[in-house]
Amino acid sequence: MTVARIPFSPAQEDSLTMLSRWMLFLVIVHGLLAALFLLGGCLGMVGSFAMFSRSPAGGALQVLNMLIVVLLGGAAGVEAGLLFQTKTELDAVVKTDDADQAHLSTAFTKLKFFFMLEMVFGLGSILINLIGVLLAAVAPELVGGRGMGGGL
Amino acid sequence: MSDFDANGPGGVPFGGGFGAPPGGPPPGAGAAHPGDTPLGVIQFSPEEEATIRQMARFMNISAFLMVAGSVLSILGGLAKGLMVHAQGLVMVGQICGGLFGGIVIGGLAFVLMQGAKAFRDVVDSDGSDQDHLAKGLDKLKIYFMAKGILTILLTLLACGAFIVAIAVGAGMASRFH
Repeated sequence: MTVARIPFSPAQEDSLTMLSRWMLFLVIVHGLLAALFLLGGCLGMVGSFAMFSRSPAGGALQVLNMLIVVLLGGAAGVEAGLLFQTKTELDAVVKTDDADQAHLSTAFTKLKFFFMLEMVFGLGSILINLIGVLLAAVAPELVGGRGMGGGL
Repeated sequence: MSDFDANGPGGVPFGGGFGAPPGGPPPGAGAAHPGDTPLGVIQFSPEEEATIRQMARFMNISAFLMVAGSVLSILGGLAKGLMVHAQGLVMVGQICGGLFGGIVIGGLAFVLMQGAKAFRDVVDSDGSDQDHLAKGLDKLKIYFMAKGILTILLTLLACGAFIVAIAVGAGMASRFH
């Protein structure tokens, strides 16, 4: 049986509202992140092709790195969309009494895909780190004396 | 008012239209106001239960990957520093930044795993489904809030570093002129 209304206490409803607000903030963050990653990845890929002349292996690794950044940019964009849809469903749980369980179920479906993409982000971050180490080993002249940061 | 609410005990003011769960009285734990009784059993369909289980699984895997990525980031930073013979200060920066990031990400991963456990309890146990649900949503709130605050802090830090870099650059340029 589908429960039309789940009797959340006022504190729990406040918590849901707050969750929804932070989700909206992260929608904006993920949107900006997607734009930055896509732009940075594409520009970086153009720069990476120039590295081929100095070190073919290093250039190839750098292109791979930038390809992952572009893919992560796409993933961040999809994440922003999923978070916005989740936020809309959570708002419906708080503001309406007609189908709380149905709204929650839809929100969970969106969150499932969101966390699936978070897994992709985690794997991408690990790959970028591994490629960074490989790059430093294969072509230290491309990395230089600078620290490469801590990944994503 | 929904059909579900109409089945509640007659004459009792609901204070928001809360009803009793189907098939028996609720456990009555954690009632906030008279009539606000959390549902002991929320009957999710098999598909909904599968979705919640999968979501909890993905939350756990993401938490694990976050920690693994963080550890690898620290080790990778050190390895790269050693390979390119980075300066001592750069290495210290890598270690401190990596450790701080590792602690923060570890905390986030812990919250995410707690949320995953609460959501799994919603489908695996019967008796206080709504409490588990509320706990899971609360952990999600903490997770997203922490991510949001971290983003704000990192943005402020980046802006600060940018301003300092401009100020230092301007100072050095004025010495030469």
